[in-house]
Parts: sequence; structure tokens; C-alpha cells
Amino acid sequence: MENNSKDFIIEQIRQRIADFKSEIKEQNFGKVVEIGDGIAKVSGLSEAMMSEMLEFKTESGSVFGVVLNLEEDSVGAVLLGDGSAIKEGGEVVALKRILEVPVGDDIVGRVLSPLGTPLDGQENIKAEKFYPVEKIAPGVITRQSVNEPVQTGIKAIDAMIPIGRGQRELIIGDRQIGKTAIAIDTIINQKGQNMKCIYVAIGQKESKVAGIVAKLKDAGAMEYTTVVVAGASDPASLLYIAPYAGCAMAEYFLDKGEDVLIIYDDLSKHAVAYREISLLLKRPPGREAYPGDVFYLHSRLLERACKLNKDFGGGSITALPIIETQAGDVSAYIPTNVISITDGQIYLEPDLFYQGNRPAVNAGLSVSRVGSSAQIKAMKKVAGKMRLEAAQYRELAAFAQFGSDLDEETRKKLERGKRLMEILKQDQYEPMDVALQVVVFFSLINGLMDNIPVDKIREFEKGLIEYVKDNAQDVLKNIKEVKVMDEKDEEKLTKTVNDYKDTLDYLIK
Amino acid sequence: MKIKAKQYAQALFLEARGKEGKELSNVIDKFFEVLKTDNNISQIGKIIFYFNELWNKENSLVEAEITCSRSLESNLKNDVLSYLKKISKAENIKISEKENKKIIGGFVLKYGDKIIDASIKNKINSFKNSLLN
Repeated sequence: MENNSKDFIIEQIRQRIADFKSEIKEQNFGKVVEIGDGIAKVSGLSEAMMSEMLEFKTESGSVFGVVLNLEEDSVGAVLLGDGSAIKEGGEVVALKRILEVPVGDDIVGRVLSPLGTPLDGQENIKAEKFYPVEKIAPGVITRQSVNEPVQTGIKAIDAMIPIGRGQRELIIGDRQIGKTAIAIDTIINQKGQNMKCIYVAIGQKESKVAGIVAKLKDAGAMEYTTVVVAGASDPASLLYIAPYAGCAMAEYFLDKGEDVLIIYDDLSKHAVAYREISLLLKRPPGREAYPGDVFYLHSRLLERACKLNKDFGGGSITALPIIETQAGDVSAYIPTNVISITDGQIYLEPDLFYQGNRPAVNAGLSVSRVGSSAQIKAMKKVAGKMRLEAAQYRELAAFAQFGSDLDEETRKKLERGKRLMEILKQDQYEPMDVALQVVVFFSLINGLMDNIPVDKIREFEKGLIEYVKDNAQDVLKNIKEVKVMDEKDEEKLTKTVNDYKDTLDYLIK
Repeated sequence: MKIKAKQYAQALFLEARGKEGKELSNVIDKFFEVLKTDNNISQIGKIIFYFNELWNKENSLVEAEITCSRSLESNLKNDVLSYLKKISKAENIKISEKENKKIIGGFVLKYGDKIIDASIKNKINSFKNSLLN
């Protein structure tokens, strides 16, 4: 047996040696004219293409670069590695290959650099194919409107700002307010939902990324997740290509007809990296010193998120870009650009965050332009009413601060609203199944929670979920599989909730 | 208006074309006078580079460089020359030879901005890469 496997390995190596063909090709070469700040100017290279890979030959091995500028008699390129060994006059060879990343089923569960080299200390990727980093987005004929939901497991989002597969939903807010937390919870909740996840960290602290990877591992989410890291210490060129590389990896699964969720954390740092490169390449600066094509930078990336129709495999890429605002200023250049590109945004507000409403989703400013058509019927039924309650509560709450004399109707609305706010609170790393969410919302909008004290709501919710899991499994099953709740289910659910309430001693009499 | 090195080179080339002997050195003298008054002497390196480019094009001349691990025999050298004439479609070839033990064997041929790397070292490297992946 052992002898056999040995023979097999030897045979394989023999085969590879026999198959090896050395080709002698004529290549285009040039000389380094100028080098510095991760940018190189190269003369010669008369046949260089845009975003072609270049090989800078140095005494201590090769460094790779990408062509970004084609000028009259020189070529501007960014270096994808340490350029300290490159000398002026050094030799540069054009590789006649557009920048590509290795893709394949092998990338799942790995932590990779934007060029596909492993950062998790494990072996190299066995590439099935190479996909170009820059690719034109799928056209009109290949697409279909969004019709399947992405369950984020976050109550506030699934109910009020639903996201569909193939949608681009921006997560926007100040620093330290839980933007990444929403993205990570969403990845964790994709377990068993037939979704591949790609998390692209752009300019993040390596320690933060390490923490995220550990958290994903603990939650068992690395089984379907790839992490692409261009850390804060990497050169701007890697930060610049990271989201495109991540998207190329997502496109591999898309082409196989699978659904992919990709998170770009975050695009403000990406824009800053691109600004750095552009200014060093001497492209003229525009508003906030960003170059003129900074809109195209993000629009061409986010257009690659799509839902393909059946004839083209039926796969989808859902993109959740993240933008960090400075002191809540959503009208800055990059935030307004990305808001206008995406199909809606989740706006996180500091005030809500510090009041303890976490996740701090501002339901008034957050929208989802296409997601509601992807919501499951059962959720649609309860969520519509919830959105209305939430809006009414916001209006009344501001108004009720002034007077204490309120009529019965208003008082009731306010009490209901307080409970709603309490329901939307959710701890980090605890995404909730959609069927359970429907149960909780159902109890709230039908007034079954009106006689629970506000400070006991979360306790009640926890208990209720356990009780329903034990006693009304068939209703949950119906919501999950048939995706509707008929009258019989509603009756049974009402009865189950009331039964549970009978076991409690803190009800308001 | 700032005058570029390429423009100087073009002007000099047009002026010097078809001139010989005293006339030519006269042109060059005057050219340096112009450079001096324009305060552009520092650009001379670039100007020479562009001038060479124009000159080679006019005279259908290609500069080539061949690197081998040991010196070439004359009949081999003639083969290389005729091959270069064929691929570059130039009438005159100006070839320089270099010796470099590091390439182990074979040759590296450069002409214009093209390179043909047929060295043993390159072959070993690509073999190594194909075995590793």
C-alpha cells in the first residue's frame, strides 16, 4: 500500500517533468527612471497595457508592479511589494498578463492577501483558475431583480431595512459605533443559508482583523468565509486592489451559480489609498484632493454586485460596503458618492449608541430601496406594521416631551413604541433566526407585550423564544419552509404566547 | 514656454541631418550656445538619449546587447547578427557583447526595448516555479 502511494507520487512528478516545456519568448523590457513612495516610472516598455503586471528584477529576487499610467515615453506603475531593492536603471519586464488573483474552492476558510498569498501560515492556494482583478460588471441582459432575502439575523435590519441577494447596502456611521459588528453578525448568521462570504479588510489594524478571524472561527463561520486582508502596514497599492481582488474571488462562486456575500471594510480608507496613489502619479487633484475618477473607483466596484438570472447561472453577489464618517458628516465627498451608488444605507447614529440602543440603527435615515421585495411573506406581514409603529413613536416621542396630559390613544402608542425600541436591542454575535424574529414582532404588534414592564421586555423575549421553540415547533417550521403564516398559525402562536405569559409573575395588572 | 528635451533633440537632428565635417561641428557649437542661453545644459543627458533614438531610426540602426556565459565564436556571432536583422527588420546592427557567469549557459539578447531570455538560469527558474505550483 505504502509502496503504491510512493510510486504514485514519483509517477506524478515524472509526469510533470515530462510535461514541462520551456518557452523562449520575446519580452518587452524597460528601465526604471524614477522610484519612490511605492511608485515607479519606467522608460521603454513600448507595448505595455493598462493594469498589466510588471516584473522588477533586483538582486534579491523580483518585485511585481501594475501599470496605472501610460505616458508619451514612460509608464507609471505602482509596486505591489517592498521596492527598497529596486535601483534606478534597473531592469523591468512586462509580463503580458493583466493583474489576476488565484481562485478556487480552496480559498474558502483562508486568510489571504489581495494577491492570493496565504497570511494564515498555511500552504499556498491551489488555484483552479486565475480571475482578472478588474472586470466589467455583468450587463443588463444577464441580470434579474432581487428576489431572495439575505438574513442578517439583526432584528432592526431584517424587519425595517431588509436586504436582498444581489443588493448593495451601505453601512455608514462614525468610528467605534458597531459598523463592523453588523457585518460580522451577518456573516455568522449565514450558516446553513447557502451563502459564501468574503470579508475584505482595507487598511484595518492587523489586531482587529485577527480578532475578527478568531471570532468567525469560534462561531464556525470560517467554513464558508474567506478573509482578504490589506492591513494598515501594507502599501497603498495593495489597499487599492484589495476590494477588486475580493470581488474577483466572489465572481468565481458567482460563475458557479452560488450566492456570495462580500463586505468591504471600509471604502473610505480605500478612497484615501487611491488618492495617495493618484497624487504620487501626478494626476490632478479635485475636491478634498481626491482625483476626478474617485466616483468611478467605487461605482465600477459596486456594479459588480449583481443577481444573475437563471440563464446565466442564477448566482448573486451581495455587497455590504462600509463607510466611516467624520463626526456624523454624511454630506462629505466619499459618503455622498457611495450613498448614491448603493441601493440603500444603514445609518448608525452615535446618540442612539450611547443611549444603549445597540445596534444603533437609525430607522428614519436608513433605507433599503430594493430589499422589501425579497422579504419572506411572514416577515413582510409583521414588518410593515412595525415600521409604521416605529415612525409614529419617533414623532410622538419628540412631541410628548413637552406635555404630560396625553390622551389614551397617544399614551398607548408611546408605551408600545418603548417596547418596540427595547425589542430592537440586540447583543453582538447573537444573530437571531428569521422565524423567531417573526414570532417576537408578531407578539409586539398584536399587543401581547403591552402588559410586560419595559425593563423586563428583553428577559421576556428570551423566555418566549425558548418557550416557542419547545411548544410551537410546527409554526416555526411553517415560517421557515412555507414562508407564510396562515390564520391557524397565528391563532396557535397567540395561544402559545398567552400560555407563556401565564407562567410569569411580573405582568402589569 | 518650457522646451522639452525631446524637442531639442528633434531640432538638433533636423539641423544636423545631411551635414558633415566643419558644418556639423558648427551646428553642434551653436546648439550648445542655445542650450546655454536657455539654461538647459542639465538636460543634455536626456537630449542625447532622444537624439540617439532619432538617429537610429533614420539610419535603420538597432543597438543590441548579447550576454553569454563565455565569449562567442565568430560564426555564432554572425548567426546572431543575421537573426537580429530578420526579427528587427533593421539594416544595421550595432552589437555589444557581455560575459556573465551567473546565467550559467545559453544567452540573453536585448535589442531596442525587447529582450529574449534564453539563459539556463531562466529555464531553471521557470522549471522550479512549475514544480512548486
